[in-house]
Amino acid sequence: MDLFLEAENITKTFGGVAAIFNLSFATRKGSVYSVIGPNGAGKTTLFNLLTGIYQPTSGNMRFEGKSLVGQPPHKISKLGISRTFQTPQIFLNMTVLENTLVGCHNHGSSGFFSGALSLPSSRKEAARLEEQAMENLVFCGLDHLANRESDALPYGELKRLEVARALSTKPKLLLMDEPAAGLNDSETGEMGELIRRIQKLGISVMLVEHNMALVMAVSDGLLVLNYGEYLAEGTPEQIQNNPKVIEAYLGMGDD
Amino acid sequence: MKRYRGFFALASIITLAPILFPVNYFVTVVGVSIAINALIAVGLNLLMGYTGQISLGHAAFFGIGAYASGLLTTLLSWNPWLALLVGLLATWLVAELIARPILRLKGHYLAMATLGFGIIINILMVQPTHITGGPDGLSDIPVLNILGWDIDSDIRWYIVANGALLLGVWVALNLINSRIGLALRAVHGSEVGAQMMGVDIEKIKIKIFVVSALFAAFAGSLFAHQQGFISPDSFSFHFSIELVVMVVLGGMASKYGPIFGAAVLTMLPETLVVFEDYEVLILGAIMMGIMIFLPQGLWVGLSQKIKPLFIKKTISVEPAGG
Repeated sequence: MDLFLEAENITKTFGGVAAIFNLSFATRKGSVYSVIGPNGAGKTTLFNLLTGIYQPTSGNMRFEGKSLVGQPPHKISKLGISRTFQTPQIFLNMTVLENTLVGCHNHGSSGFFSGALSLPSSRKEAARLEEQAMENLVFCGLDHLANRESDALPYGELKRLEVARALSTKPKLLLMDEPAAGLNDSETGEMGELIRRIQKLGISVMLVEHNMALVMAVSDGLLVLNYGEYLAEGTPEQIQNNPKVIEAYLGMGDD
Repeated sequence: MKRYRGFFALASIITLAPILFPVNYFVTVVGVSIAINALIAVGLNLLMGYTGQISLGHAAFFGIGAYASGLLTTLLSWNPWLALLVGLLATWLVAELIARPILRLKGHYLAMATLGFGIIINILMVQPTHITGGPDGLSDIPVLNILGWDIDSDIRWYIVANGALLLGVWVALNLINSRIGLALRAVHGSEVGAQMMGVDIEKIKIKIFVVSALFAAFAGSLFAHQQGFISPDSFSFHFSIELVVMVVLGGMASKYGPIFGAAVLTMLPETLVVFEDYEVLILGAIMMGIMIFLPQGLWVGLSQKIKPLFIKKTISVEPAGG
C-alpha cells in the first residue's frame, strides 16, 4: 500500500506528563480509521499533533511521505489534512455559507490588492468558490440554511457545518474529533451516514469518537489508546474481542 | 451592486449636505474633521471590528502621516503629494516592523503593546525640538494642490476630505467582501478554526494592521495640510482612545457604524460647549448610556430598533435573495 499517514514513536509531554507516549501507527488511503480510548487517553492531543496545533516533543509524522513535524496548521491544511473540532470552532460572526467559503481559502489566490479594488479576477474567483462551497453545503444537507447566521444554528447543524467547511478545503484526509458528541440518536445515525458518504468520495477519515455503536459501524481499522500509549490495533471484530481492550475500556461501560 | 447601496446613500448625504446647508458651520467646517476622523475609524474597524485585534496606538500612524507631510513640505520644500507618498511608505515600514512582534499578543497584552508604541511615537514628536518644533508644533504647512487647484477654502476641503473618505469606504467595502475579508472575519471568529482552513493568521494580521495604519497615515497627511499647523497634542494617547470609541460607539464590524461614530464623537464636543465646565461630564454620560442600552453600537443598535417597522418588506425579500 502507498504511504499515507504514518506516525513513528511520537511523544508529547506537557510539563513532564506524557499525553502521548512513543506512539506509532499508520493508516491506509481510503479507510475510516478510528482512535478510541478512555477519557484522557490523548486522542485530541493526537489530532492536535497531526494538525500542527501542537508540536511533538519527539518522533516523526509523515503524510504521503512529507514530514508534518514543524509545520504550522495552515501548511498542513494545504497538504490535504483538514479536521473538525470536539467543541465546534465555527465562525459564529458569519453566515453558514461564509463559514464554508473560508474553507475554500486555499483554492483561491486573490489577495489584499485585488480584493480591495474588487478587480474582475477577484470577483470571478469569488463566484467560483461560492459554487464550490454550495456543493459542500448540499452534500451535508445544509444548503437551505446557507444565508442563515451560524450563531442561530442548533448544535447538530453546527457539527455538520464543521464537516462542510472542512470538506471545502478538499482534503485527502479528514480528522473528525467526536462528531457525534452532543447529538441525539437520529442525528448520530445521520452523522454515520455522512462519514460513509465522505469515504465514498475517496476521502480518508480518521475518527475520534466515544459512541461505540457509531465507531464499530463505520470503521475499517481501530487504534486503542490508554494513558497516551498504544494498547491495541485491529479491525472492529478484533478489538471487540481483545481482552486488553475489554479490561481497559469496554468493560467500564460507555461513558 | 447590492453591496454598494449603503455606499451610494453615504455619497448622497455627503453631496447634499453642503448644497442644502452651504453656510452651516457643522457641515463645512466640522464636516471636514468628521471625514478625516471617519477615514481613520473605517481603517481601524478593519482591524478591530472585523479581525478582532485592538490597537490603542492608531493616533501614532495618524501622526506619522501628518509629520511626514508637515516636515517634508516645510523643511525640505517637497511637493505635498510626494511627501504624502513617503508618509505612507514610512507608515507601511513602521507598521510592518512593530506588527511582527506585537500581533502575536492577544487581548490586554496587545492593547498594552500598541499603547506603548503610541506613546513612544508621541515622544519622538515632542523631543527633537530643532526638527519637529517640539510641543509647539510645526506651522506654515503649505496648502494642497490638485491639478492646479489650491485646496484653500472650507468647501474645497470638504470635497477633498469627503472624497478621500468615500475612497476609503469603497476600499474597505471591497476588502470585507473579498476572500481576504472572509479570512479576516474568520480570524475573529476562531483563530484555530481559521488556521485549519488554511489561513496564515500571523501574516494576515500583520497585513490588515498595515492597511489600517495606512488609512490613518493618509488621513494624517490630509489633516496636516488642512490645518496648516500640527502639534503632538493631536496625536496623543487621548486621540487613540477617541478613535477606538468612535469604532465601538458606532458599531464594531458594521460597515457604516464607525463613520456614524466618528460623526457623533466629533460633533458632540462642539454641541456641548454650551455646557462649558460640564462638557466632558455630559459626553461621558452619553457614552455610558449608549454602551448600556445599545451595546452593539449606535448604528447597529438603532437600525435594529428601526428595522421592525419595515419587517414585512424584509421577510418577502429574503427568500428571493437566498
